[in-house]
Amino acid sequence: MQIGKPLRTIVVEPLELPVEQPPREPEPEPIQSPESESEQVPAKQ
Amino acid sequence: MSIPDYISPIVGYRGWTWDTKGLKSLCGQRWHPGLALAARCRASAVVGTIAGRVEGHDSHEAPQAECTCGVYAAKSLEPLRKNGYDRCGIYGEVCLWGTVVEHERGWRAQLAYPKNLFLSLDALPFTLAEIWPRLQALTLYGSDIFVLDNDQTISLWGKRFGFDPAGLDYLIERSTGHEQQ
Repeated sequence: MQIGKPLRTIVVEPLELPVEQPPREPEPEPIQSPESESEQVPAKQ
Repeated sequence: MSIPDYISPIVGYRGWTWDTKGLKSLCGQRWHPGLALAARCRASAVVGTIAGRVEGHDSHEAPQAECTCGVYAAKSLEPLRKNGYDRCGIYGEVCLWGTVVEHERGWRAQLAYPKNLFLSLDALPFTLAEIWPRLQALTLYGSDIFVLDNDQTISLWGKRFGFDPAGLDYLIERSTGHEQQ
């Protein structure tokens, strides 16, 4: 649908919702990176 | 805490397709009865190269002013008619709320739900056996339903009173007339 250029962004919070709202998806948990393994030092010969 | 700009839903116009399971956006997105449609940005899912430029971006909450995501609706029926969306099967008013991006001739919204539905005659099957399951699916949305016959608007179903006898008579006469041809 062609609706032209954007003009502004607004927030609409109805006092009475027309219907139930779907539950918000939970924020993804940050993935903890495994601790970096210490670099192996080649054994001196 | 943010202060809302409006405390009533914005009302726009849009078109749908419909089948025995209910309403779908023209892009195929299913609208579920009794549950607002929440927009999701899919731009990140279509990352690709167009004319040498890399398109796409990280996903974000829809809608954003810089993106094209959101549930679309027009400010008037004119853009729908101009683009032929009023002949898609069903059109009507839609309530929009949440974050809403206003455009020159329409809106892109975070949340949406049909307010009322107008069925064009072209989209109505002729036999009652075909119409009935589709209509029952539509009534589950709880939105008032009308049939458009040229300049005439015929009430078919209302949230308060259910099926309108005059609307049902109209459908039966239309179906009977078709069988006799």
